[in-house]
Amino acid sequence: MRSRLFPGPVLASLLALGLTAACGGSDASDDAAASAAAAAAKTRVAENPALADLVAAAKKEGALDLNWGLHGREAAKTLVDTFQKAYGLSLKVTLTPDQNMPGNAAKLSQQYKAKSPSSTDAFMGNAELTLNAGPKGADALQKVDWQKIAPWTKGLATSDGVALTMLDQLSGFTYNTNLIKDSELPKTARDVLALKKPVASTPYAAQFNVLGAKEAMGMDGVRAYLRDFRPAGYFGCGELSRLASGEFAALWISCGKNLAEVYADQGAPLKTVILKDAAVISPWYMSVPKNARHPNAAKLWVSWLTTPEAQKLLFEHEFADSSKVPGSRTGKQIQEYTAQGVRFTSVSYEFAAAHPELYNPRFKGELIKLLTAK
Amino acid sequence: MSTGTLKEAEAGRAAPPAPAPRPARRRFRRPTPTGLLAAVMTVPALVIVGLLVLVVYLGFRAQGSPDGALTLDNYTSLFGNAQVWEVVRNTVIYVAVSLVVALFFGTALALLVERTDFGWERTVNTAMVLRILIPGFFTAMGWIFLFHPRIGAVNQWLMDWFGLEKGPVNIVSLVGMGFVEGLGLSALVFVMVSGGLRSLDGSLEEAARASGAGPWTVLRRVTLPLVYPSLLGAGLFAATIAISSLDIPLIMGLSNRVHVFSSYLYVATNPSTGVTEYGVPAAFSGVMILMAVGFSLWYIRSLRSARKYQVVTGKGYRPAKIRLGRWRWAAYLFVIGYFLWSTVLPVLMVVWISLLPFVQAPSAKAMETASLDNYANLDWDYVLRGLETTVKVMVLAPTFAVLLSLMFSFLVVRSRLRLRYGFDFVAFLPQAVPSTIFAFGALIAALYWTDGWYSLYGTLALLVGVMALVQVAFGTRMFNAALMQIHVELEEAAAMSGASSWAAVRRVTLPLLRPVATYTWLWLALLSLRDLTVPTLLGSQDTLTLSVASWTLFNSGQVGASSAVTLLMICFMAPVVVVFLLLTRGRTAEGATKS
Repeated sequence: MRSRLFPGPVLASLLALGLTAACGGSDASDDAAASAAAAAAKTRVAENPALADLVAAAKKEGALDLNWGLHGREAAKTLVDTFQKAYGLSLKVTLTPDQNMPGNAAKLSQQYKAKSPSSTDAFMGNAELTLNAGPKGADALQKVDWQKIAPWTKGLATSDGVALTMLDQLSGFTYNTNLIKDSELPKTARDVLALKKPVASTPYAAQFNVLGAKEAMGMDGVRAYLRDFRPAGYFGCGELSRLASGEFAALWISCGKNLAEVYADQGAPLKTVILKDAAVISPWYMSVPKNARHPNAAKLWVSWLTTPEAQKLLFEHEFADSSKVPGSRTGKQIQEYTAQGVRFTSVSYEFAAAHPELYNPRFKGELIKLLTAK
Repeated sequence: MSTGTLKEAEAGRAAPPAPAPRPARRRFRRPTPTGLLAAVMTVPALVIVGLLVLVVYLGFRAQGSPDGALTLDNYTSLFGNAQVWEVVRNTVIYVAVSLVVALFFGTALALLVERTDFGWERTVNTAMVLRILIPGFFTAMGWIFLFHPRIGAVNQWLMDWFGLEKGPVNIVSLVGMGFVEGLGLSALVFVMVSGGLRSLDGSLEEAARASGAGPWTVLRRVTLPLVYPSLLGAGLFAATIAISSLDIPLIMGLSNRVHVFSSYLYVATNPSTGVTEYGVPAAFSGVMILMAVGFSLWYIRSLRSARKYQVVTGKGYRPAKIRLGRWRWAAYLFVIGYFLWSTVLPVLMVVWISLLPFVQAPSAKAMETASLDNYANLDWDYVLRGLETTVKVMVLAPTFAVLLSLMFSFLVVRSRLRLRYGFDFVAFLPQAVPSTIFAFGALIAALYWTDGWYSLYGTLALLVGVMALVQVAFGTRMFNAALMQIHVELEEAAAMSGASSWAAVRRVTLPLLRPVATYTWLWLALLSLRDLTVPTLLGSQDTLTLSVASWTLFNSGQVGASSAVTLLMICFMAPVVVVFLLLTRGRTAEGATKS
């Protein structure tokens, strides 16, 4: 029956073509990074019995499921391959490039509540989502002694030990360089309102709630601002092709300048400016669900991603790393912006825990309504 | 025996004089075939009703969670503000435009192919089926590049040629969205209506013509009324798909502040707080079920006049073809224009985008960046995982759906059970209720109430089961219409010749239904292939389908890779389409009758 549905030669040719094409995509610099990562990992394992035990346990589990949507072409795949080579693993990694972080977080909480295994072994989310999935929310994330298994993670874990910081996104005004000239670029949030170009926004009012912090616009300030802001349309942070195509001239607020840089690396006419009075640093965190199918492989993966060699690869493919890791290039960018007078609001896990009013669904819903109901 | 039912036929055969049975044995009456069938079909009927009852129940629970507090807040939120009513107005306009466009193009093409000497039947059929394979989000992108008021190529040409200040056509309007959705749905209408036309008795049209009626009168007074069940089913099916569909409202509407119900609910259920709100969708499903009751009652009323459509009598019917004559060129223009705008340009758009590193309107400058990188860099583990599940779903879901539909339709059309309309009502519910909410009920049920060895959450069994149940609505519309057109005289004749009920069904009815069954199976297989809603909600890493793989890439900004996967999807599945078109060749109702 199957052979009737798929004529053998046709399928074989298509697969052969695809596999040949796929095999041609290796990158020499990634190979070098993999060798360096393997050497570094070997030393770390030799020096740390807890890490050696974790590697053995991960090998025994034999698999790793990841619902991880990084933006850079082959970013996640390159990182996974290098991780496997670093620890000499041959895990069956099931990688699904799903970028719907709120959806994944909701699914994770629901699965934990229903006592089902989680669909991802390692959860990736921003501060708010990680907080909501952690002990103060759904309590679906494991507390891990990260320093015991990975001493290099010192200072990278959240205060309650459920997550490690992975990278920092810098939110800003992302624009099409063919449609907005340098002289027209806004310097402050108010300048955006005066711009006579089709500026889009996200339908979920990304990052506007954070500007409600006292050190930024304040809650009333952001409400007033959104009453005056009339977007030409809406699309998600990952859909920057809508900007590249010229359908819209800019996205305000975009989730991260690194996303535009991923596109620009492929030739898209996209850039991001960080506005002085509305700059946000949004860290992404990694954690291990309590109901993960392969918790040891997940811990090993999460901790490895904070190593200098993984962070270097991350920046090369995703154009962002964690400013807390020594040698961070994103950290250097933040320093440069700060020197230019940009005031950043860093929405870390601790910030989210300390400002529940900014994440209150009612407040966020109000902002979404102000932004979209026009 | 003028009114036919299997039950009567059985009763007739069971009637010959025989010794009176002993009183003690009267208690153990042998169940009739229809009784047995009804008992079997009670199980899927209960599953359908149970899932919907669960969703309604969740509408009264905080956040739509089974253990949430009892509340009316979800309904208050749903109807409590003016924006919702604007969304309702938009939805009505959007669905109405979609329906008009889909019915016009689908029916016109079906009439051309089945009722005239236009020819090209197989080509048109193949093209229409291939049209289904193109995901709606790519069609939407294609039309944006053609008719967007700012970047649409056609608008830009018109502005240049006529010195206009702005583009004259705005495809990202409510009417524009409805038009694009309608073009997509016209393929569905085509398949459903052409199925009905194919099994139509052409002698009735010939009789009308012989009585002096012109082609238009024949069409209006004979042909269209005879395919009324198919048109009704196609219209209802297209309308509910338009209400449920998310891709075009998301791509074309959301970005331009035009909200319809599906995009409104999408925004409502995708908050950036991390806590997904299911309460409002559950409340909305309650409203949709009420509407479904209305649709079902209307549809069932039309079934009561079923005998009006019994035109396949086994007495040498043969479709008659109208000669187009000098109108042939107008017909060519119509068909070529339709395919150019509805299929060729969207496919070219998919090909174009698959060659680019990022989305760009067609231009010489963009051509310089074209390459095969998107294919070379595809994650083939991911693609093959999607292909494997897709093949399984495409084979299993339609097979179960066709079997279930056939059994439901036999009960509804051929039995005289009091509950037969109840079964039809239940089978219709998955069509009237958006599949999003139907799948949501299954998701919650599987997540909370199946565990351990009988856990269904994230399994292929759940995915296939729910898809089959959702498809039962389409299947029963097809089989109801087909069974109504097969006169029971044929089964009665077999019964009079000594055939058992099963033998009459197997040797007379089922062969006559084979074309419809094949078309239904093929159509449902293709719908399974491109279905995003149910696989997105119920799928897991292990049950990733190609459509979800493509959408996931599209949604994560990898539009080039997504279009590459879509093209591969079309390449992988095109042989299936060809095989089934070959299978349907010559297996018309006429051929089946002769056999």
